[in-house]
Parts: sequence; structure tokens; C-alpha cells
Amino acid sequence: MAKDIKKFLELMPQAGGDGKLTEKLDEKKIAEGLAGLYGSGAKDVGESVKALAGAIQILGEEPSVRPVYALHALGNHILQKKDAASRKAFIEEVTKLLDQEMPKCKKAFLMEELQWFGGQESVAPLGKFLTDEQFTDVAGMALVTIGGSGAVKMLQDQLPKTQGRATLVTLHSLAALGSVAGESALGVFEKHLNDKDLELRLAAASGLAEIGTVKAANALMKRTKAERPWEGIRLRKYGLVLAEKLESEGKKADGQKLRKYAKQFG
Amino acid sequence: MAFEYRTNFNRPLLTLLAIPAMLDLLSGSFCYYTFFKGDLTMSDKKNRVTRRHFLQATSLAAASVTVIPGSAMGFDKAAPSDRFTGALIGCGGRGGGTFNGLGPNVERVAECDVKFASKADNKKLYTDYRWVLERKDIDLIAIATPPGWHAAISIAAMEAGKDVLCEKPMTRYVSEGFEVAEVERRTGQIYQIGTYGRFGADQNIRKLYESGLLKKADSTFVQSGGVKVKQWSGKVKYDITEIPESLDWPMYCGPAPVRAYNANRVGMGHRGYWDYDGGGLGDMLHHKIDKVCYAHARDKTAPVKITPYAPPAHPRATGMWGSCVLDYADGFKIILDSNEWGKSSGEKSKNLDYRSLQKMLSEEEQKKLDALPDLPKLVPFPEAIRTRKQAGGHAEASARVALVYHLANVAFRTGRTLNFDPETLQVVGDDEANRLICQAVRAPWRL
Repeated sequence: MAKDIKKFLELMPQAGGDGKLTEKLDEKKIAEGLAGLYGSGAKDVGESVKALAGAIQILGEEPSVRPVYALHALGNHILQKKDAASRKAFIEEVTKLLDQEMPKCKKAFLMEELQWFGGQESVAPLGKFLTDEQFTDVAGMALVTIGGSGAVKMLQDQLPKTQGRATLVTLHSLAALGSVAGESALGVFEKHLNDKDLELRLAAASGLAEIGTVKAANALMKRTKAERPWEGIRLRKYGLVLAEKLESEGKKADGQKLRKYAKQFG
Repeated sequence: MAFEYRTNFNRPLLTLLAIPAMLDLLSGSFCYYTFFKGDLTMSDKKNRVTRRHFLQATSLAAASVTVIPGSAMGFDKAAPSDRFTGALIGCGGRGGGTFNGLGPNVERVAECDVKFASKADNKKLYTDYRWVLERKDIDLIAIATPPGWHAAISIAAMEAGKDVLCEKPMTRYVSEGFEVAEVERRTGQIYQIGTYGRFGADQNIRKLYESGLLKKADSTFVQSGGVKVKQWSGKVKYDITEIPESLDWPMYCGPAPVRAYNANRVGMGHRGYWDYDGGGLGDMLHHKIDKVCYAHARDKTAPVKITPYAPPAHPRATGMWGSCVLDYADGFKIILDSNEWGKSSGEKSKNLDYRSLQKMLSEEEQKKLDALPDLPKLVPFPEAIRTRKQAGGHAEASARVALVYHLANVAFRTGRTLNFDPETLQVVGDDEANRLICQAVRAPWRL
């Protein structure tokens, strides 16, 4: 680690005897450290991120405490300054690291830094982890957080390549962005509405509720059977949510159909 | 038994009726509500009862007395229609107290906890709340899990046709509270937050706000300390250990990421992690501000500017902060001083009592106010489930109280002043802050 960066890192708080960051939180020192890590902007930020991320190993172990704190604080510092170039440098450096071998907890942490500080440019680097069962959850949550049509397309493109839990996560994430996906996701939700797996069926049903159109409602109403009461509770919910959406658009007849559909589940 | 309470009501009657109540309390067969200058506290040092007890209120009680023992009102001989079945979801330290909050004549027919992994039978003991909610024989749900689960379980319970009493904090992040409120409205079920400060609030103040006659609220509420910031900060240095066999760890994590297990994340330590809670602020503030938020109608609006003073926040663990100023559009201010880091704001509460606010009215406005009818009393949970009237601490009101601590925490986590729109419930011009307002959840859990 560059000597200067080490010096700035040492101004960051360290865990006390109780394992917490509650002692010796010196405002001035932390501000000085962040100013140093930020330097004069993008180039210095890139070097700081590389150094800090390089110093992180296992989260929870002492050597990683300061760099984890510093990296996240630097991310927020950049947003406070509204410095687009530095933000780009931050994201680029974190993204480069994701291709490297490293402890799982560290990679998950770096992916989450993109969840908080990344934008559409982070969709592709995150999206490729959807098929990896170790990281699919982190990737899915990050993509839902970043949102937008780019995230939707990534989820749609990756879904056929997934299996096991990764399929559930990807479908669940696409459902969460159902209002963004619109009817482009209709087919995939219809396909999974009658899956043998309960959670996939419910993810699909929730996606249709998020899409919120008449076509989505008609698709939902094709699922007439609840394999167990919990499924019935959820199908009723999605039926009523869709009913309210359509009724608010003046589609009262469609709303009534949905209410009748929902009623069959108790 | 030393049982301290004060009310504004009929003391001789209270004393007479309290005797059988005390005997019942000793037997553990029911619970009390006590109102102590608007705070719900009870001290019973001899019996070491340390939290609030909830009293079954009848129409008589509502009219004249606020402490009436259930047995004196014949609740133990209640008609079948007055008896309920309940389930407790989250059977840790608060569980018993929360269940008692459902009121007397509630039979506990199921318990659910992720720590029952080695003994769950899915008949009386469960690890998965969904299978509890499938039961048609359960009327009421008491929720005392870590807060990360509060919204999902509250929503599912109401959608399953159950009434809900949910521990504070109401939720883990802003948008959850309004999803709960939407379901409360859609289903018509009863929801009550597990804190009761508002039941002792001055209704005259609320009436003044409701009248619309108060044009500007030059009032400040300062919470000075008392939110256990350091105590409930999270560990950033910890040992990763084996998951106990009795714990369903993925279920514990629920909507939050499944982290490497360390014992600090379970039990009371959950407060120290953004994954499950909001530190001491998230844990304590609903207790502290429910009364003032009700009295001053803060539960019908939201702050418009949130200004933090804190060191940069850790990404995973809650930590120290100094203060936060929450400004409302009408001039009302909430100031949070931790008194545990940095300099306090130095501000004091002002203009919170009715008399101070009255001075802001003209004579004519006062006359208009006097002519208005008094507000109806807030409905406690046991009455609400019987009469189907909205409970006093219902979801919409609770969500707007929860806004205060959630927004303060968003400001601490981002390290910047936020401008917030009370209508859209979004931070203005700060997409990254909005990522904390409405958060992604882990599959398969959704609201």
C-alpha cells in the first residue's frame, strides 16, 4: 500500500476491545483521512480504492476493519461532493477487482459497494454473478436496487442460464422490477406460474401483479389452484393488488373479475 | 406488591378493582395497562415485572377508568365470542410481553421461532411463520422477531385474516411501513404497534392540529439521550463461528443477506446491524416519540429536511452519531441528541404543551376551536379486535412515526442532509439515498 494511503487509513477508527467502532472517533482525523484518500479526485480515488480493497480480506478480522470502513466512507464522500468523475473511478476500480479470486465475503462486500454507489455501468459486472449460486443473492439484490431497463434486460437474459436457487433469485428480482419490465416479462412469468416449485410460482405471480396490466391479470387468473393455503393467501393478495390497480385506471369490470378470482382462495 | 401507577381517573374505584387484578397478576393470568402521565410504564420491583402490561378495556373502562382488572369485568368467564386464539412469532426476550399485549382471553395455540429448528413439530412449535398463518383457528398474531421481519410477517398475517400486534420498531426501512398500511387498509384487519405513548397524549393538542387553525407550529421536541447508541452499536470485529444446530440461520436472516454466522447478530445484538435494525435509534425512538407525534399530528406528515451530525457510517454495523435535526414544513422540529458522541445541539424542547400553542390563536380562532367536538379516544388493541374499530397505533400512523428514525438513519448512513417529500415519500434529488428508502429483499421473501 502506498505510504500516503497507509497514513490516511490509520486516521480511520479501529475496533475497540468490544469489537465496536465506538471509541476514538475523531471527527477531524476522519475528515483528514477522507480528504487524503480522495486527494484531488478521480486518479487519486482510483489508487485509494485499489489499495483499500487490496487490504480487505476476511470481514470481521481486525486487518479488514479499517479498509472496509474507509472504502465505504470514501464512496459516500464522493457522493457528497457530487463528483461524477471520482464516482466513475471508484466504480471502475471495484468492478476490476470482481474478476479476481478472493474470499467470498470480500467479493460480496465489493458487490454491495456497487449496489450503493454503482449505476447502470455496474449492471453487466453484477449480472454475470446471477448464475453463480455463491453470489446470486448479492447480484440479484444489487440489480433490483440499481433498477432500470438495463437491470431488467440483464435479468431476462440471464434467467435461462440459471438453475436451482439462481433461478429463483433471478425470477424474484425480475418480479421486483415487474413494473419496469412491463409486458416484456409476461411470457417468463406465465411460464413459471405453474412451475412445480412453490417459490417460483409465487415469484411469477408477484411479477404479474407488478406488471399490473389487463394481460397480466388474465395470466394470473389462469392459476386457479393453490397447492397449499399459503399459496392461496398469496394468490388472493396478487389478485386484489391487480384489481385495485386496474380499478384505479377505470377498468372496473376487470377489477371485478379479479376480485371474484381472489375470493376463491378464502 | 409495589405497583405504582397514576391515572387521571377514579382513584377509589381503581383501588377497589385493583385488588383482584393484583392477585391475577401474581398468578400471571393477565396483564395491565397503566398510564403514567401519558407514558406507559409500570414498576413492580417486588415481582420484577419490568415492561408495560396491557389492560383489557371495556366500554366502561374507556368511559371512566383506565385501569380495570379483567377478572373484575368477568373476562375469565367471557363468552366464547370474547375469547381469541393467538400465535407468537418471535419467542425471544420480548415475546411473552408482546403476546400479553394481545389482551386477556387469548389462548396461545402456536409459537414460532427460528431457534426451534431442533424441536419444531408444525403443530404447536414452528420455525416458519407461513405455516402458522395457514391455520384458520388462529385469530391474532403477536410479532416479536427482529425488525427485519416485522413488515413481511405483519403483511402476511393480515392477508391471512389475522389481526396483528407488532413490536417496535415497526419496520426496517421507510417504504415497508407504508406497505403495511396499504395491507391494513385493503384487508380491514386490525394492526397495532407495540408501543403506547400516544394513548396518554393530550387530545386537546391533537384537536388543535386537526382543526387546521394552527397555521405555523413553532414547536420543537428534543430527544436528549436515552437511545442507547453505543450499547446497540454493532461489532465490526467478530469471530465467525459454527451455526448452532437449534438455529435456522437462513430463516433468521430472512429478507436480509445471509452473512457468515457470528453470535453477535442473534439475540439482542441484532440491533447493531443494518440488515435487521437501526441501532439504538431504531430500537428505542418509537417509544420516545409516539406520544409527541400523535399529539402534534406528526403521524400525518413527514419531515422535509433531515440534517445529520455524525461520523461516517459503517456499511454493515450501526454506530455512533451526534445529532439529527428533522424539520417539518409547518415549522415543527424534532431534534435528536445522542449525548454519546460529539457536541449536542444545545437545543431544548419548546411549545409542546397546549397552553403554549393556544397563545398562537386569536380570540376568534379559540372560539372556533372550542365549538368543535372533542376527538374520540384512541382505541386500544383488545377493544379494536372486538369492535373492529381502527386501533390507536394503526399502521399508517405508525409508519409516519417510524419515518423519523428511518430518515435519521438514512441521513447518518449517507452522511448528508436530505430533502424529503412527504407525499411521494422520496428523498429529493438523491437517488442513492432512495436506495435506502426502499430496499431490495432476499428471495423468496417479499412483502
